[in-house]
Amino acid sequence: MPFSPLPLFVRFLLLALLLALLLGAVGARADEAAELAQRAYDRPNGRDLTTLGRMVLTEKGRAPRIREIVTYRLDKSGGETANLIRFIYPEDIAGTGLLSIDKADGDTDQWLYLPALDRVRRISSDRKGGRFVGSDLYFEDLQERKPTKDRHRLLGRQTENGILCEVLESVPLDPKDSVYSKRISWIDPATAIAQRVDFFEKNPNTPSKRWLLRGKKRNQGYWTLTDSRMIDLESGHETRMVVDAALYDQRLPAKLFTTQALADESLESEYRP
Amino acid sequence: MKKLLLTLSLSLAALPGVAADDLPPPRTVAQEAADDLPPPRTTTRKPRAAQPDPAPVSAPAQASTADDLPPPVARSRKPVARGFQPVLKFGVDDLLLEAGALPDAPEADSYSTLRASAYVLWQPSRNWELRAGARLDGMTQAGGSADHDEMLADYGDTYVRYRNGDTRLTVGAQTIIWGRADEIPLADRVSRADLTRFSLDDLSDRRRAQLAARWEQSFGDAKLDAVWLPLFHGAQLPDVASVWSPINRTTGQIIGIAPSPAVAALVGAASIAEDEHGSGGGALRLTKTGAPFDFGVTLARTRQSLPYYRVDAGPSLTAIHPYNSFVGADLELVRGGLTWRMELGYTDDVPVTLASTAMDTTHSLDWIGALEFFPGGGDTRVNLQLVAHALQTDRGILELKEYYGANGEIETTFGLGRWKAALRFATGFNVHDVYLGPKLSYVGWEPHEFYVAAHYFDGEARTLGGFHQDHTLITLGLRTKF
Repeated sequence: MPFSPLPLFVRFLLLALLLALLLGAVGARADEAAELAQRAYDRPNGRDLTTLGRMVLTEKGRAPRIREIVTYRLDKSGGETANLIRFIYPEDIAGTGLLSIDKADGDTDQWLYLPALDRVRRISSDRKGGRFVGSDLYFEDLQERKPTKDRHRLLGRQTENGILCEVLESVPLDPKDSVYSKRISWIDPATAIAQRVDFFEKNPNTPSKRWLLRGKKRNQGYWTLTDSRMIDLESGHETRMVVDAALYDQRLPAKLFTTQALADESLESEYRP
Repeated sequence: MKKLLLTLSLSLAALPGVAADDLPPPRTVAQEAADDLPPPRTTTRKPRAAQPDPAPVSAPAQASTADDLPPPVARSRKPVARGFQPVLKFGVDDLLLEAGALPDAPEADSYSTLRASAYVLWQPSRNWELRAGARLDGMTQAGGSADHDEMLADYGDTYVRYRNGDTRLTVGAQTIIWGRADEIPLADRVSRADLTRFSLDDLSDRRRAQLAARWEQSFGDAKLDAVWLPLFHGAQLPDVASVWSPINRTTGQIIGIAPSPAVAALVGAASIAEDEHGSGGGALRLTKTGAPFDFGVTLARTRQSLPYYRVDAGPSLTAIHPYNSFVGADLELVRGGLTWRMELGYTDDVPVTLASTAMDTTHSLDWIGALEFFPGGGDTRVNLQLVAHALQTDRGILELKEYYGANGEIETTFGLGRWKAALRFATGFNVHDVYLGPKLSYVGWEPHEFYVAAHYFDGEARTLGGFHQDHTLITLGLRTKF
């Protein structure tokens, strides 16, 4: 039977159909990626949370340096989140506090309390790349990054920490909005908890830092990431973050997240775990 | 068509949301180091109620394969915070050991400092807090025409504090530093200055406790701060033999006053006295934080701890501290990634010296504009402050009528936060007045700081840099607390 080509309009119809299917698949995958990022962001974490923890800064051949920290977080109405961090060790930074109010519109107000001057100073939250108290955490790492600030895509599945994880790439929509050019996260699809995050800065192919989850614990029905590490892949220097105690939903008063409480440690100390 | 579809699928692979073949290679297990976590300090508080759930699940990350998102677990007892616990703390909150060389000073070749302060703090209940502090200041100056050493004991912050709700009352010796600018905040009207080391130290170390009654009342984001100084105490001055004395007997100069043979003769012959009697006055400060900016208003009728040297018969130079009134406003905001700070102040009855060396008074207007930022969002902090000071008089006086300048600090960390480098600076715009203070510190052995620093002064007559231009100092020091 002689080959009879399809009429031109049928060919275009088929092509359009295939294109629609492909674009639909692309859209579905993009939706899936964004949805996973949103799930990780929305992971239940209580209305408020207080933790007592340590940051252990280790460097080969040197004694570890330890910071003890109390953190308070309160989800306020209207999509606003307040965070208070207080250092309690070592002595040279004990009493120093940092208050951050993450507003619904994405802006952050931030104040630093310096005990030596007994003064609260407003500081810019745009300082993203500075090392937080000499650790491997940048100031940006302390902020919860909204998924809408990144473009997400799923790279596939890979085992991390013994779990088959979804591998999610997140690239900032506005490159100036982040110190990182890209982040790749290994997310447990069951719990929406990241098991590993690779952070890319200048080199788009080689991560500069790596965050690894070492342990988690269920407290009051919520997962607490009790042990994790941030590793500077170039220097080998690492910062281990350990949560020794966590308390959820203790109805922290909004007054705790004011500059008055920031400047007076005794106002918040009784809410510590 | 097949080719067309292939091309299409290739180009689509580059679109977001599609899994390309760029999955990172699996991680090697080398980073799974042994558990080398140091144990918590003994003072690390453990949760009082450590039974959060009937069966709290604790798992290394590897074991978390089948966990669902948490439906809250039924529990018989909710963990609670530790609540109020009495506090008893004590320690050495400052120890400074510093050896210094004065390469240009005629008075001495070396200047060394010992400074130590200790405290006890007791908070027996939620409402009450008691603190006692003491300090010891020692210096030795040797190798020149004015060898000198001294040791001074003084109280530190020693007070009784009462808290209730939004109210805080503090009575006793306390250090209160108001204002927003770093070096010389205008609203700083109720603190007691410490001039024993001139301006070698940061602002917090250039202030001492003095007797005061303080009432702090919060109203939401606003706070009213009222301070009364029942017993005036002037600035802690160095001995007149010290290189940091505001009166230099070697050169016959008084800081801030134009040098002349008459002044030199006076400085050489005069006795020096201090007039501190009476109360220090009172001040109010209202501050508010939040959007769109933080601001403060200050009203003060106080005596300033910094002395004015009045020429009296005898002759004698008497350090006096006349009352003056101050009205000031300040604000602080963040825009464009920069923190902007500004203070504006008006002061009346500022003492000035006529050409005859008689005292007169006038008004002054002061302004400070400050800018703080972290270049590139990194580890370097820049704080730049512009200052303006204008005395409102047409009469001929020995002080500078106007001063415009800049000061500030640039500091950075490196070596993974183990090293710090800083430069404090000040310069005049309308007069030649320079201060440079570079400092390199090793802070890797916490909480100790080992440092090498320099303080360079230069300037014309009547400026601070000019007065201390022979007192360039190079130091090696240790600072710690425990």
